[in-house]
Amino acid sequence: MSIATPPGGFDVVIVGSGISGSIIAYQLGKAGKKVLILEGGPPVPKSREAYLQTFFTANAKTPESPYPPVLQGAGSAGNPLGQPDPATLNTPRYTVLQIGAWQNPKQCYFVYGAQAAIAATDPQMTFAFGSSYERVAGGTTWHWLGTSLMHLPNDFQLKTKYGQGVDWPGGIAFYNQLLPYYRAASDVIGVSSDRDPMVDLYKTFNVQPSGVYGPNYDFPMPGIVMSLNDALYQQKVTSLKVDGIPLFVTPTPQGRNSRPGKRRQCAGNTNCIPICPIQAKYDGTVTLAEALQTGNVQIQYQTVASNIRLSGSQVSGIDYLTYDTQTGPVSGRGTAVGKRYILAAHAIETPKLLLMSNGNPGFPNGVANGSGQVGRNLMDHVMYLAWGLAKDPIYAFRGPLSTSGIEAARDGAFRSQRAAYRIEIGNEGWNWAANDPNTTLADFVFGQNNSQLNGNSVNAQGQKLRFDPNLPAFSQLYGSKLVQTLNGVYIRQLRLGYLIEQLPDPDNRVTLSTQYKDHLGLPRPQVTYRIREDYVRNAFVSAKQVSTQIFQALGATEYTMPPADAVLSGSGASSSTFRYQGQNFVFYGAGHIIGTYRMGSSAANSVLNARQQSWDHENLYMVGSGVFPTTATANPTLTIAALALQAADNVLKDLG
Amino acid sequence: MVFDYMDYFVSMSVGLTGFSSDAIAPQLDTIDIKSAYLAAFDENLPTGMAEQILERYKTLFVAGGSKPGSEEQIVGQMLGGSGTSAAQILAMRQLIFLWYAGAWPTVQSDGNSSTGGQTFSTVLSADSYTQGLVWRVMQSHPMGSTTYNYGYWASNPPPLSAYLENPV
Ligand SMILES: Cc1cc2nc3c(=O)[nH]c(=O)nc-3n(C[C@H](O)[C@H](O)[C@H](O)COP(=O)(O)OP(=O)(O)OC[C@H]3O[C@@H](n4cnc5c(N)ncnc54)[C@H](O)[C@@H]3O)c2cc1C
Ligand code: SF4
Repeated sequence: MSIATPPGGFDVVIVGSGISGSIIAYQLGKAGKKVLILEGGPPVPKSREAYLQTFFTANAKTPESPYPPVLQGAGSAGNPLGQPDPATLNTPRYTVLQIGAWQNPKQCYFVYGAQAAIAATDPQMTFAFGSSYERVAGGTTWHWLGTSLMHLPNDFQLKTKYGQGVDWPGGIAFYNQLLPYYRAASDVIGVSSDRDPMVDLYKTFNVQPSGVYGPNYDFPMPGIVMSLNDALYQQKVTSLKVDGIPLFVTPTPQGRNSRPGKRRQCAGNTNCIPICPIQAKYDGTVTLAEALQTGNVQIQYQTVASNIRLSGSQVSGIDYLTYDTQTGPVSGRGTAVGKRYILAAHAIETPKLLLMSNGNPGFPNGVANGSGQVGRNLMDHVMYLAWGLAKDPIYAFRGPLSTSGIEAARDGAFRSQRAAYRIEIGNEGWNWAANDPNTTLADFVFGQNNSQLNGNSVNAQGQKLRFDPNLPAFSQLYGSKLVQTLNGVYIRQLRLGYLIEQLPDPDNRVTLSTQYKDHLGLPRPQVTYRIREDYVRNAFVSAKQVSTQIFQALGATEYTMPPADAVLSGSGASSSTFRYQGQNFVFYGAGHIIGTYRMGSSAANSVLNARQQSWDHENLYMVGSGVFPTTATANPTLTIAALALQAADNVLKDLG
Repeated sequence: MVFDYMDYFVSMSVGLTGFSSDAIAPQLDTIDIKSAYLAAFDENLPTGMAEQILERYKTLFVAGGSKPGSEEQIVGQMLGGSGTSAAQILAMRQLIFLWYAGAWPTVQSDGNSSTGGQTFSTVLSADSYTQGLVWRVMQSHPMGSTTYNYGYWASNPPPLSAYLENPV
């Protein structure tokens, strides 16, 4: 793994080898530029089997479960899951399991302050951030789902059009300029989608499809076939409207192969999150390999960028630390030097690196932070989950985790009052919603009722939820009755997920912990996260109502669990529950970490210009969803890829 | 375990799980998950308990004429407390969970909670995860390991009986 500095040095140094870093590396490498990638995590394993085995044996099958460092060990009092102390790890990251231990920095990588709110109705209430990421070569797309949608034109002009949040720099012009890059990004990811349903969708938003795709465009692969589950929604939701907008089902454009190609054809392993066993699903390692094959790109693994050096106002080098094993000592140090620098370490580690680089004369608040915006405006698509049981079998737990969505409510006049959302239709039963199959299994074997199927639970519509009214509550089954009951439940399970847009709030932010460090001695992220705006909270109220209507239209019974009242303090403090308009809500993370080094039209209130170049340091660029001024309504990665392609062109222009 | 109880372990497991012996112990059993489960059943219980349970099963099964098809009725008697203690009944239920989830459960019963308590579990091995009967009872495949082909999710699966009666 020795790096050979080319004669004349590196043209570009990139931090991070996820999809965004790898795309830029490939574009620049193809153009003959000499590129060095610093990657903090371990290399791509020779076979994904190792990660897969870790997943199979993991007790908690969370998105992070296949990947190093390990999440769980032997439990002990006070640490029932046996979560490792992040202070002992060289590249700890935030995980879904840590959310339950968010107030305990010996188990949780992010450090949170004490709860400021005195009631669950107080908008100042702070929460655990809901989303996680990976620190391995190839990055977080190892465990992404693959949903590859474009943002809508109005997403780029939220302020101008609806008076909410901010516009993207240039507003609608930014969108128009991005369109060719969106098409190129679909090629990079190898998106499977038919054109017609997309055209139908855009028409409802008054977007000219010919403008979106050009006259001859077609997606790289045909659309992924829809599930039986999707078909039920497709038949039934058209009777419904949300805020006057008729609902309909759209097959989702997806980064997984519908045909054999360079990667394998999707075989429906139903495991896209956390790991596709056959790489039918695109991930960052695909583009990383292409980048390395240009012969112009080199990568240094287990190399954590720790400081950005400035000379005057230009970046002059990036300091790094290396390690051999996850818990071992620092094994080396160095400084990577190039003509241009690109940060692609995703939306937590990138602002952390900028803030850590606070020793340069004249820049005491860190690099690229003249605006004071670095680390601010942390966002996610906050998710509302709803689940139910269909009247007839739809055969859940089969196919990709999601193959369709309801996209109709992603834009509309309502956006002056409440956040937009897209509705993802799950194919994985109550796997996410209720940790099934295990919860229902345990209920019927041991006579418990955590699924609400085996007791006296009643839903908000007054429907009794016991699955078999002929069985007593808290039944303990075995043999053929157990078979019949479990089968009847699992093959009917439905799940909806609402990806609700969040607004930029400057006080939702990543700063540096003054107290807690990782094993390399680098400060850990201190995170403050709230959902203060009625705009966003109103969308939870809407999502709840709409779910109930959808399940009714389907003839299904709703099982969405009403959250218990939030507990505000102590070690059992609620991480994600709030109370609004007299109802308790719990939110989930979408995995979309957005907004911590945003683009803008003025150096006063943004970190980057529309070229994704630092206002303060001409030779520094940043990519990833940290650049987004708002979350918009689509899952972010297609936009991340489009923006990375655009940034690559900008860097090439600079280099001449 | 001091002597070979595999036959009765399989027979009792048939009764407990509702799956056929072809599914529980296929003729050509390359993975041989039953041996791992018998070992786990023994190791996770107080010394001798697994043996006592199997002894009791054997006694009842033989007394009933060793009839294939009588397994479920016999475990029914045992789960109902015929010659079995509360601890043994719980152990038999833990074995059901093991067959279905491929994981050994720890049950925290709580009569005061509205859900009756909670269950945590530890996965035995990669094989035990993929062999879990939950995937078959849902007429599907383990999440992360399928032998089906592209697009299967757009049609109905084979009937439940195919999953209950056959090896994977
Ligand atoms: C469960 C889940 C599901 C998702 N599903 C979807 C989806 O369906 N559709 C969608 O659009 N998006 C989805 N996403 C989001 C998607 O995964 C991310 O948007 C995307 O991976 C971000 O890419 P990136 O290249 O910007 O960052 P990453 O992929 O996170 O890459 C960052 C890289 O930087 C490296 N790094 C970090 N710190 C340092 C350092 N100090 N020095 C050197 N290297 C460093 C890391 O090791 C990593 O390789 C999902 C996310 C999650 C969590
Ligand atoms: S469904 Fe399976 S094969 Fe298809 S992308 Fe997801 S994990 Fe891969």
